[in-house]
Amino acid sequence: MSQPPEVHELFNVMKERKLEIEGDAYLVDRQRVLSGMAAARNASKRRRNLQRVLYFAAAAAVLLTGGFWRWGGGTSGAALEVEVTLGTATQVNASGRAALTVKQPVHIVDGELATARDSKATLRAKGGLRVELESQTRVAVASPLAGGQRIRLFSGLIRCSVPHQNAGTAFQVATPDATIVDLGTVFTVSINEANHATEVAVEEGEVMVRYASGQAVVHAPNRWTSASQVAAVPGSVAPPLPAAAPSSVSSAPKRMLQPRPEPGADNLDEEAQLLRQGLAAEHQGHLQEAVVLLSRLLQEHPHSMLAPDARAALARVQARAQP
Amino acid sequence: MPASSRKPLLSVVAPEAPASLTQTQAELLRGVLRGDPGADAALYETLYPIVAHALQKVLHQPPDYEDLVQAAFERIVRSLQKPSALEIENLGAWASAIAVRVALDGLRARIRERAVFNRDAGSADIAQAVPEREFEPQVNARRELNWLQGELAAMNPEQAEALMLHHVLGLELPEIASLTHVSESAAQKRLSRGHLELKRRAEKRAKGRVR
Repeated sequence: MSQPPEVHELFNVMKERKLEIEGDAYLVDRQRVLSGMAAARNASKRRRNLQRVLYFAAAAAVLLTGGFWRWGGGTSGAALEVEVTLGTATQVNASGRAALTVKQPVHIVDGELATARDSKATLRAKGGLRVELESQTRVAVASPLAGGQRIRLFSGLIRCSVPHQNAGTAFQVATPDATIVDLGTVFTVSINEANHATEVAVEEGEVMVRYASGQAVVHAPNRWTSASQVAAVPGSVAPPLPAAAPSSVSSAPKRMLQPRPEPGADNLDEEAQLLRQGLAAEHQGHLQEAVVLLSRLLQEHPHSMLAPDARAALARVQARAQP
Repeated sequence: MPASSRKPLLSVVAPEAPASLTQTQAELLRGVLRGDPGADAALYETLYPIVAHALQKVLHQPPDYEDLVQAAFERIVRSLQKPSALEIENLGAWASAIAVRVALDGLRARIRERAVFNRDAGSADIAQAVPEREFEPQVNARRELNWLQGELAAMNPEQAEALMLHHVLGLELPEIASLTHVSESAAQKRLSRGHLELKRRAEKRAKGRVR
């Protein structure tokens, strides 16, 4: 065959094939195929549920941005009020470097802030967030519109007091080796000068700490350090997961279990965030944390649109947690 | 599958839409979507001959035939739940197209596993082991099939799919466009480019044989 056949002729070998139903080569386990069809249908439903959660997560992200806009006072020029309460501090941003002195409050949007030796400063937001900077502390404040409620701690010690109404927008403190996510609480974060480890002390409520190899929920009055990446101080993290999930919830501070205003679209961001965090914790194998987060969502928002998903996830996590 | 099976899947997921599916078929697909007991089995009985024929046309006698049948029906169920199912009018052609897609995936998997080359070697052994006159047509057919399968698996998947829908299943451009969710001009482009590519490969092969 020196001349190539026409393209349609090439397919004759396929076109002329007759259907064969009989024969060992064409035996099909009908039941197996039917099981596969049912599994495919269920998988599609799960995917759709996941998509729904992602839609809510996206909505939460939008609301979170909007919430921070309100938190920042709705103006691009006055997100945080900085007041030096003792000594001096230095502000550095795109405009340059400025020295701040006692009792001369200024408003900042972003940039870095550093307190001098034997100096203190306080950051305040309209929503009630209060961050106290101790001596020789350096932080960076992200632009509210671009970075959300996030402060980066480079050195020193800060004490954060976050009112409940801001818990849904998840104020965060980022350090070189951890991210502390506020769950409505008062806590301090510091960088150990000797080993540069992050140290977290929770005075009230609870925080979630994310670090390189995982994450942990730290309840008041416990402490956590990145030096061991789990629990540097005995009892610093939540106790082991009990067989029955509700008991682990009861170990949470009572303040956290009090119902919040319900219902309302304003809660959606918080609900979605709780569900997302719960699912993420489950995915990472942190079952106790997943139980806490999902239970919290169900207790605080029993009529949430996300409640069915949270219940299903909680049941799944509890089943996994059974010894 | 009856010849009059022009079914608008539209009526399955959107009951208010004009129905061109037969009542039985529409009810069957609704049952599959709901997960009704027995609906899957009924759909399997309805579509198995169509799926099997498409798979066998492209692959002839694949060793993983049962797996491919299962994969085709799983894909059918998943596709039924997609919005694109609204655009399908011919259930038989739609199921055939899915089976062809599964077959094409199977071909590509075989290429990856070098299975095609092993089978080529097998057919060569047959040719050497028996009198050539007796088996020449079968061996040649097998060789042609293996070559075509290998080239289709190596080609652009969209072009290969368009070629198979047209030449193997006998579908025309409007149907190919509908089944692949593209415009007729895009389907035409895929088909003509596929033609040129396959022709180029056939000419290259013919030149190699002359040498």
